[in-house]
Amino acid sequence: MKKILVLNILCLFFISCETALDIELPTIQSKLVINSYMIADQYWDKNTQFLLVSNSINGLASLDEYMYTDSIPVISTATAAIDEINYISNDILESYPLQFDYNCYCYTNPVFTPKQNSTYQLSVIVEGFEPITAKERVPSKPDYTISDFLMTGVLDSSLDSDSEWEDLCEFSISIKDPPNESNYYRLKVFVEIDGPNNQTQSCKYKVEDPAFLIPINRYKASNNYYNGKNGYFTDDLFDGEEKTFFVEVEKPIGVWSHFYVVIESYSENLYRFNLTRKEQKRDLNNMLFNSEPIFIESNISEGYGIFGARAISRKAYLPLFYPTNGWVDY
Amino acid sequence: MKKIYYFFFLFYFFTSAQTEYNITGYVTDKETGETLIGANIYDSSTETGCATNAFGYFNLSTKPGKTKIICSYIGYESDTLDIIITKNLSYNFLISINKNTLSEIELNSQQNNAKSILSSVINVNAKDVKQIPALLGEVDILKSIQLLPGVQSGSEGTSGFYVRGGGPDQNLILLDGVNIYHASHLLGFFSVFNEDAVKNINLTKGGFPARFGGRLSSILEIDMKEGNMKEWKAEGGMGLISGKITVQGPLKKDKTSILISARRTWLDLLKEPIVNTLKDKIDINGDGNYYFYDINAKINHKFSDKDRIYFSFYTGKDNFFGELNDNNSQQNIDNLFDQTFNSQTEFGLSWQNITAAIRWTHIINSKIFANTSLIYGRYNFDNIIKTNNITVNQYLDGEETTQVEESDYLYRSGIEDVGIKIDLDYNLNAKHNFKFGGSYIKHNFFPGFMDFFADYENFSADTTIVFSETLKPDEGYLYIEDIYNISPRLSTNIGFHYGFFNVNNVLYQSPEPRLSIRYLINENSSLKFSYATMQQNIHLLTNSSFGLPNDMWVPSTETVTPQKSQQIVLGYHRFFSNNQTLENRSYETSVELYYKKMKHLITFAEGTNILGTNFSSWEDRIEENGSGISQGIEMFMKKNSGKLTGWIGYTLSKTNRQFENINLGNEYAYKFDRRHDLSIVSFYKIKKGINFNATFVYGSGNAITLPIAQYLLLTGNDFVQFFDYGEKNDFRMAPYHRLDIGCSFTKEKKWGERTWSISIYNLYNRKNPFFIYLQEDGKRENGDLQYSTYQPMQISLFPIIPSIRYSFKFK
Repeated sequence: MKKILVLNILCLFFISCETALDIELPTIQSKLVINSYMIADQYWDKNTQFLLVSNSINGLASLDEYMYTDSIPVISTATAAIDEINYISNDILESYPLQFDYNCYCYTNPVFTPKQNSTYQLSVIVEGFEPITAKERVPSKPDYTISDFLMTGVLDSSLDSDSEWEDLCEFSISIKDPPNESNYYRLKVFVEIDGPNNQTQSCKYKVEDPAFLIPINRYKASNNYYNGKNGYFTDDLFDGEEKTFFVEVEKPIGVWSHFYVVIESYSENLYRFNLTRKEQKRDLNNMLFNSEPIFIESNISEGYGIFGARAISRKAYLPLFYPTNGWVDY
Repeated sequence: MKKIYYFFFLFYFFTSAQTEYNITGYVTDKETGETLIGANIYDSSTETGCATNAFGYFNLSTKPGKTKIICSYIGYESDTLDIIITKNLSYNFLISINKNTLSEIELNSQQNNAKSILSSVINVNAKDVKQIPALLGEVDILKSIQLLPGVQSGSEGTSGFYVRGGGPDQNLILLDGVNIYHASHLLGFFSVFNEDAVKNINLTKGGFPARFGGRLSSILEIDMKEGNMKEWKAEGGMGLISGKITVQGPLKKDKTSILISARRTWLDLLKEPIVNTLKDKIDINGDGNYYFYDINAKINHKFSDKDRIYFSFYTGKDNFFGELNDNNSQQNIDNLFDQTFNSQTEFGLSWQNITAAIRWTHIINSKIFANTSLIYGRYNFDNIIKTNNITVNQYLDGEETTQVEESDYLYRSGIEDVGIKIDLDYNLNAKHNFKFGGSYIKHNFFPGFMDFFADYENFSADTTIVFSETLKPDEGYLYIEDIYNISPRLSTNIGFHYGFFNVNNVLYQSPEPRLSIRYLINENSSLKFSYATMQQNIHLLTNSSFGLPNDMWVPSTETVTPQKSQQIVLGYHRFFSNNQTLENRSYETSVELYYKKMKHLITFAEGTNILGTNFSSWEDRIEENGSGISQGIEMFMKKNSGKLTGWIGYTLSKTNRQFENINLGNEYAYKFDRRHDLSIVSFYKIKKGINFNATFVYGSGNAITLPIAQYLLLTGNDFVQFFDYGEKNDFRMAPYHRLDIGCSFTKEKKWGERTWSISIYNLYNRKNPFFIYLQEDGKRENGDLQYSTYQPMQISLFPIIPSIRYSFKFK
């Protein structure tokens, strides 16, 4: 009897089964996929600014169905151009044709420099695909000042410690937000050491402000503070005003020569794309709890991906620059 | 207030010109003293009738003169009262089980549904429920509800139910009038209701009378037995995973009765042999246990013919707890020290329902019956995890260091209700029967907070994350309904329900008109129409389809408005019978068309789920202002008599949802949109004491979302795969179907009666889908680039499962 009972219990808990399903998904037209980023007032350098063109394949298709160039899944035969256009009339002001570069497997134009508050239109044509277009406005560089600065640690600490992090400094950042537009920002702090083996690492910081308590910062925040390396914040609660955050920074253990603060301004398209992309990745393997699937937002018509823009503003703290308060644009 | 009195006064004069008297009383089982719900009282002179209410009370208007009053109840011998009516009369019918009838006709509905005014109401006999073959032999009231037309199950084997395209939170489940928020055990596989303690089950899917409110899709009323007034009785049973016992009897004969029923699983007791079996094969460093129990109790005291008081109590708890240990030691690390490491993790997961109700029924006069209830309900969920790591380094020079790391995690959520309810039944005359009353409930929602403390070498935390502040809204309603018999053929139930919900000084009001019309084509068939608006002030946040204990009940707030619905039902009901008396009818059939429109629905925002906890309040994780439409046709045929009894229910339906920020704002199929849903339930009496039963269910597959395209996005320096999911819920899982069979063998013994029940769940071993997910099944590398291929995988839970159960009933 005991054995029968044991077997029945085992039945309940261990005989659930898993079956591979042969699901036939409808064949849909492959679309172009764009990975393209612009940074205000910087040349297209192939590293941070570029255009990559690839194709989509069926949801459960074999990876062989991607188009490859030298075993890299990119398309090299596209006709691509970026046009600067009038924000209102869409008239073309300047045109920048792009060429495929086998060094980066991307499309570039060395003379192209995206300008703040300018609007650009990307067009890509590849035979066999629907042509795509995308429009993007480059944001202006964030305008901010740093005050109430206090070193709570030392840059060149060489103490042995079991911890990976130690206090570095704290300060207030005041950012002037342009009125009547949705702005998305990102704050980062880096430590750097000069010399032949120039090395940079991200610092951790803590900010207690509701502007940081937004979905994209999920898992790096508690009820009332953000504690991470590269948090986003929005102007939802301070549109058109000057906003001040108090930031407490920790640096990775090691010897560093200086550190710098970066605030990036993101276009709404790029922010929404980053947010939904991050969420889909987190959600992919959440098999049991059926959370709503994520649709990645895109500004590419008839395609996937992003043609995004951001503007970067940096301030470095260089100890040797006293008495200028140590802060310089960087 | 004066105006209301005038209104009633005038109404009385206009509608009751003729002299009428009332016959009132209770219908009770002669052997047990238990009141009978839904017994029919029929006046042969006026050819009118009524049914007993939830307390077994009836009030029949009749004319003066000689008449025959017939009391009938299926499975019981009828009782007839020959009388000359000259004044109001109080009379209690005591009727006995008809043992001959019982042997032939065990299954019967208790009311003539063609004659009742309300549509979309199904009464389920507790005896029916006991006979349906059950998973692991555990009889389950909610799973038997899923076999009715218009009611769908969520996932394989689970107790959650979905009525006419509504969500699982849109069903109000009342146990003796108290709301049960989480009605399942063991992750939804078993419901909390112990059928031995249950007397009556009533499901209203549409055409809601004004006395009901608070949910959009259904009201499930479950009435507990009151206890035997005559003698002490005991019954019980043992199945594969649980045992139960019910004891009932008179504390004072014919005055006070008590019933106590308890059920408990013994998985934890069986754990030892399982662990011993597995110990040799698996390295087990820990211990764990699970059990659930239910306790029902009810005391019923009769002060007089006019006053009775009932106290009912229920508590049920699931408890999953255990510990994991990890001990290891390393010698001579770096030629410097020996290290021993001890880790202990304790975890606990528990959820509990507690309900209590005191109900006082009072017959004010021959026309007015009053029921006053004080109710209390509580549901709470707790999750605790504690870890403790101790690392001891013993250096070769004799020095010793000890490092202690510990963490403590607590998650808690719940809801508590305290309330009062008053219902009055005013039988003005044969044409008008008024029901009116009101209710007030003080809710206390504590939707969830997490305490987390950690003290590790490289990490420390001490934080409390509150997902939502505690809210204490007030909820109440007033209602009035008039059961108006316009003519012998045409009757209506016209009502008005006014609800209010006050949360943080924001008041939501809901005027809800209700109307039901029945036109009797002839004695055996009728056409019915109903219209109802409903408002629901509380919501359930859930991602799962099977009722996880941490599903969170939350109230409407300043920003999250109550859900609303409007439903229209048109039905045709017909009995096929040998003659026109109730006892000998053979078939009961109905066809109902319904159209339900819902608005202000909420759901989790894309990508969020209840487990994806973070700093944000639940209000930031939901999409609001959704709408939904559900429409369909339901067909029901029930054979009530003969050796073969049972029913066939079929539903053809379509349900969709629409939210501004989901599926690009486009309409999409609801997860449990089920085009076809078929249930066949049959009972066959082979011979006295031997019954065979079989159940077949078929349902179209649940709607799911699968990727229609994949593409590569540059993330850092890597290409990473992402998906385009196209239209939400555009694909279907495989259809669900299953055949269960069972046989019961009952034998009289000197001490009473015993029954062996054998059943086989999923007889032909169908692998029904429980859920589908994408599994990475291959990786491809190109230099530094890596990407994967995915394969959809289906999880099926229950294969063919035989089970056996032993039940006993003492004389």
